[in-house]
Amino acid sequence: MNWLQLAYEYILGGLFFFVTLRLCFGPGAASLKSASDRRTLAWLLAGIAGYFVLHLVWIVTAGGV
Amino acid sequence: MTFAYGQPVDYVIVVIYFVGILIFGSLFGRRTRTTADFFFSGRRFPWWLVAFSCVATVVGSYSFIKYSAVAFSCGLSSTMAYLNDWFLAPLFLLGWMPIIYFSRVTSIPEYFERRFDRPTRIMGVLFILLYMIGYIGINLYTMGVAMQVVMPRLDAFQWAVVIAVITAVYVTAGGQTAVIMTDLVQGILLLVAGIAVLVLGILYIGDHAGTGLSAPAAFWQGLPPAHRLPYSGFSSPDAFPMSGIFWQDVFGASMFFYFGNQGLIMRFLSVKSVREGRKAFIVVILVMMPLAAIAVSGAGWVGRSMQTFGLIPGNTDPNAIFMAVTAIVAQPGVFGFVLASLTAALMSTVDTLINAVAAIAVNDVWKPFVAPGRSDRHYLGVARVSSVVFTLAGLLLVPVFMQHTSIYVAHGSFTAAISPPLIVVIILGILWKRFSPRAAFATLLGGGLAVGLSIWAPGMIGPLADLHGMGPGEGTVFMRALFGMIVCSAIAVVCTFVWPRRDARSIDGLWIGTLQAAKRLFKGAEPNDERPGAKVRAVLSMTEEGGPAGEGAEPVVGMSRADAGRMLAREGDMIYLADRRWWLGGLVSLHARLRVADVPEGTVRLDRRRAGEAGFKAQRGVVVEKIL
Repeated sequence: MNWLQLAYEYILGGLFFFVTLRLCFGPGAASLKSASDRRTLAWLLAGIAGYFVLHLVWIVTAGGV
Repeated sequence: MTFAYGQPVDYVIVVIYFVGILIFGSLFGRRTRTTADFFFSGRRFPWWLVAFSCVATVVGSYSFIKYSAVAFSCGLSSTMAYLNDWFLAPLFLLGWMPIIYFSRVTSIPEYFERRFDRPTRIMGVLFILLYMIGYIGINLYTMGVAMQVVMPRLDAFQWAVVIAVITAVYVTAGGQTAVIMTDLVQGILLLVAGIAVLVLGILYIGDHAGTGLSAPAAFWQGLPPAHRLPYSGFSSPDAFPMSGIFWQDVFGASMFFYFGNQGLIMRFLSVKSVREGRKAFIVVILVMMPLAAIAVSGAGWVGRSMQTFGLIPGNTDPNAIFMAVTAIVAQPGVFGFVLASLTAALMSTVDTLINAVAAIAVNDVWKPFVAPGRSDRHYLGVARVSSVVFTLAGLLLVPVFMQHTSIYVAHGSFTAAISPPLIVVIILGILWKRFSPRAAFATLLGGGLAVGLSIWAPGMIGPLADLHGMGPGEGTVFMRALFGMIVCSAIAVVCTFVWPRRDARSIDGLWIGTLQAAKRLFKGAEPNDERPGAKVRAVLSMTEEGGPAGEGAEPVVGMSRADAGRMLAREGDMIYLADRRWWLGGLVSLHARLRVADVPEGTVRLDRRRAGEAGFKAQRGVVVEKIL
């Protein structure tokens, strides 16, 4: 069973991820007006979603349900 | 059971590879005429070159031994440490990298002086030198261990001496350009070799397990169910608990690697633009790291599956599993190829470290404190001598690491002990305007002492280990990073409220809320980066008109109004010209300022002297893009 580990990693890691993401889009910092920053934001969200789905599918495939 | 490691043909391959990489590196070493060449090689490289060189740096020789051992004992969860770096991506991509790039700092200690003050810089130098010299020692030691298994006529330390001498010669002859270019070759080699061992191992199991299943199915069946999962137990086994790895790796090793490793900083300072650096980082974390995880772990997974089918003894030492599996599944010649990849992994990590530690020694110690105002030739000489001296210093640490019970613990405990103070100062420096110079200094000093004290009195970390269900032994090692982060953060916050912050204007461009100001300072004008524009292919036309002279003066490039319009660029914007041959990787390129001129569309006009310095030839096809 790996569900506790999955939850632990993505809750704590996700907290750090989203808090720092929010701070990086504050006043004077990265801006959604910039095409490069918008593209980076899209990659960031796709990346964390991709890793989460990878781990989720992996656990299910490996018989951890 | 003993294994026959290699045939003469294997050692011939290793020697050929080694000589080849020395010659290849030396070709680029001829460009090393100044300290700027030696350390930074210009901001010219594309994302793919930096991405491969980053992976070559991340994967050290110890990685194959360490993660194969973990994979053998714990299964697919050995990938944990390679698949959890994405949590750091926002701060790196949108904060740290743009700040150091646009502020033109050359090292973390220099950032500390500009963001805080000189005492903080000095503390930073001490911490970073300790970390990097230790890291050199670990790589030399683990390579010595690997070579000792293959050729036991010399012990691990003697092998480390041999390798250190060879590496020091190579690095001193090269420079940052040589390091990056050789790392490209070495990064590809170590990924291919590691994955080849896994594929050959799976095929071997298919042929010899006698299950009647396909090779992949037999391999999978040979793994115990718990070994197929992506995570180890939450608080077990003692040597690799998930919660411990999470804190030690994400908030210890990885965070320090991406934010505090001078070698990585120099990599990302060598890209042609922040946009290109972001691409490199994204590719590293989303593509290269998963591939690297497979490459360094594959032999351990194969070994475990082979053990299930009796194809390898039950008492095989996990630390020897990489070499044992490789010796069984690889044909003569292929084994030599894998040995070469081990050498590549070592060289590509250690050459980066030696180059980086020499950069700090020269730029943060020698130049400001010991011998200011000397010629660049003098500093280049010091850089070369420093490369040798710090390699020797790393070598002296090898006997210390030999006292530890396992390579993984040795590496983890070292990094966890010194990284928290630096990480906290960097992160708060980026994110918190109020974070003051005296608080930063106190965090480095007090945090360093507290973490050091916790090594002597591990009971201090006991409550955190207990909270995660880990015992007082290994648990305190794994939780040291978390303990350090808590203590250092507390010191930082308290001291910031006790001591007043610096004038906010003096730190413009050095913290996240002034990133737009950093761009303006970098460009010297209002940035033009909201829309990227198209890349323009053109032909180079050289003139004798001259241009801005003096060190650091950027050349001016004339382009037609139509071409400038396609790039969405304005007069005075920063642009980048590169030879049309992409595979040169930016070796023939330069940054310049745009001048809208009366030139034909599809033509770029550049002063002959500046074009020659960058390696351009007349009528050569170039690609031009707007940077800022």
